[in-house]
Amino acid sequence: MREACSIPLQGQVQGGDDIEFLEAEVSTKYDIPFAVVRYSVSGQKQKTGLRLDLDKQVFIDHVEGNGEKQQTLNRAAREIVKVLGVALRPSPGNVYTRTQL
Amino acid sequence: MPIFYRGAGPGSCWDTNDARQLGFRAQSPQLMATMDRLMNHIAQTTVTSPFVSLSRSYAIAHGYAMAGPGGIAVQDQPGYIDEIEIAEPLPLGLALLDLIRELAAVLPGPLDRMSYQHDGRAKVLLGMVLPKEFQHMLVSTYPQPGGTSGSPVRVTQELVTLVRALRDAEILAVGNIPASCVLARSPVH
Repeated sequence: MREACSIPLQGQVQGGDDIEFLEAEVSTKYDIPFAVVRYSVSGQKQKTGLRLDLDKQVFIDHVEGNGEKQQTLNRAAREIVKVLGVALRPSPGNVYTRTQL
Repeated sequence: MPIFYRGAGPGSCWDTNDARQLGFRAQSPQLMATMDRLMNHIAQTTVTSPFVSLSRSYAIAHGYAMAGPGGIAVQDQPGYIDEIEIAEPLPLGLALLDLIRELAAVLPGPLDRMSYQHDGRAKVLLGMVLPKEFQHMLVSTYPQPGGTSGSPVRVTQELVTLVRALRDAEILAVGNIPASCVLARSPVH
């Protein structure tokens, strides 16, 4: 059984200030209130992701750089939560649906 | 003796550093532990904080351990849950804060004009705890004397802090937690 899956964010969540949001990884095994968001800066995919608290709708991790980058994260956090909310909504045939609490 | 838990997701600071060897320290220990910083730490997850978050709930720590900068915890890349035992007398320089008790001491009284309470329906609390499912409760209209309010429900920073501290069964440590207090470290995925 898969333990995690990735949900595409490109084209669904607006980036900014050289940041582009690529995909969000979520656990398919447990219903945890966190996702890991993969992103690029100036077109370069970053090695590490950013933890997103889905309930607080804020990133736990921060990116190096100016305050504008942080503003981009703050704005995107809510958008990403919405995208994931739709993607993870239980429905027949939904490949992302979680299996355990 | 109370046991506290802390989850470390893959690639996080306390995944790559073993707290059984190093103990725990805050990201910004030089900062003063003020009430504003305490509320920001809980409500906004501020990184520049003099606090170390612990939980009385293994399940909450498990959630935190399941996600890190390296990705979701899986068999080949687990997260870790540290088990921390702290007894009195507390180690020198360490203080433990229960958010609810700390905040309750400075909340406005029932006769103050400004209140920390919300002014919506009971489900406002669900909207705060489970926004994915109930966020609409924070923005929907609600009955007020003489009609229906057109503005969102009032949710104060103090109430957000209270609810989120309860959500995570959270206790804050100020100062270093010595390595000798970290009894066990278990992989989870």
